[in-house]
Amino acid sequence: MMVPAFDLLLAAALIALAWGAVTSGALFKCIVLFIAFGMLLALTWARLGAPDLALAEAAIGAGFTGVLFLTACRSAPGATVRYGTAACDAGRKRGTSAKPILLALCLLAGALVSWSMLRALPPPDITATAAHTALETHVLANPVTAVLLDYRGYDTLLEMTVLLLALLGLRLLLAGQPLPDPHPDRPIDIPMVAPLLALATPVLVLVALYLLYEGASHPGGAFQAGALLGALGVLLRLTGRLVSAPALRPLFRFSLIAGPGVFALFALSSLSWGDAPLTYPESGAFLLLIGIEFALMLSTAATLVLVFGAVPGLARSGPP
Amino acid sequence: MTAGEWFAASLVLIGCGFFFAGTVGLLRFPDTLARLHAIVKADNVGLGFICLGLAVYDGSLAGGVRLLVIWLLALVASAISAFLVARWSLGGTAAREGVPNRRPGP
Repeated sequence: MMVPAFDLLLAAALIALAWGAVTSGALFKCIVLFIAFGMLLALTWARLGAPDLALAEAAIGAGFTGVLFLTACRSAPGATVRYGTAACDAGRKRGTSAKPILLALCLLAGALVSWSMLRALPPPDITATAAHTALETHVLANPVTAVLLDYRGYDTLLEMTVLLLALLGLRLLLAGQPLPDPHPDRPIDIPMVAPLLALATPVLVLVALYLLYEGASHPGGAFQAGALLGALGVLLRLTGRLVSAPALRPLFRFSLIAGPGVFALFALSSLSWGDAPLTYPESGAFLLLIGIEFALMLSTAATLVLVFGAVPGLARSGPP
Repeated sequence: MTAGEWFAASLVLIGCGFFFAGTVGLLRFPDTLARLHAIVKADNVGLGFICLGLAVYDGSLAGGVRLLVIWLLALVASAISAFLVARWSLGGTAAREGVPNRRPGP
């Protein structure tokens, strides 16, 4: 088969893009190459048989992080925004003298990791066999979602709390040193943006809900759905439909804490039907899982939109 | 490989040919507008051929409809993105004019 040629091409393209993203002269070019690298990395995850990871990488690693970098590049001190040429160019980056050492360190770390991964071929393990047999009778058919929400539910609960803490830390930083609004309210609207939003909003909501429901049995899940909704929020923010407000609306606040809150409530209340936290009941487990995933999706989306906005609150643009 | 698989593979290869032509245009054309023209038109036709080949390979109606919707969404997204990039690249008054921001009123 021609498969090894494709894999080698993919690996070579990854290395070339990563090299270009680090060593390019203009910041805008580095960011664009980074976004392309994220897309090829998503393709690599799909090629390695991890479609959930590919979805998350494409949404967060390539899309959301790329937009964050572009906004930061545009707001960087010394960046010039010139019409007719590149969108922003903050000039050459400093610290060129440390690059050979960093390159050597990264290559050494990569070689060590590759060597240990190639040596440590998975032996037949007790926990792996037990997990495989337990997954056969699990209510969820997708093993990734089953691990995330059931077997390693504690990790997911803490990850959602970490996400909330990161947002709180960002708010504290902004309260101490307010930044100018990176996307101020626009007096004019560009043509074709309104039809784009009219198409994109229902499609993104529909695909997010579809990924949420399909995550139980196929690749998908709460995080990917939340990333899509976060992308919708970023789109609305970029096009001026969501403007900065001095404080968060109560519904927004609730959606921020809904994910970790619902999950924590479930963890505590599962003591009433089991003997350990985070155990699912015998009946109604599927509905409970979908409900928890829905709350996680809302929290992820709200946190991503607020992190991108870098403003105290968001409101719909309209007459006050 | 069956005849259907050969047909699907040839469709995907034709799509790759269109992508190659679009990339050559992106690299060789002189200015932004010409490059946008190359990649929007050639890449979307290439994507259409690839989606058609994958639909033939898949064989089911649901997969074919999904691939068609994916192609249509990619068309809309790339068309509007190309319009916005072209508007930006023109610079000057073209980038500053627009329609008044219609706010949702009572």
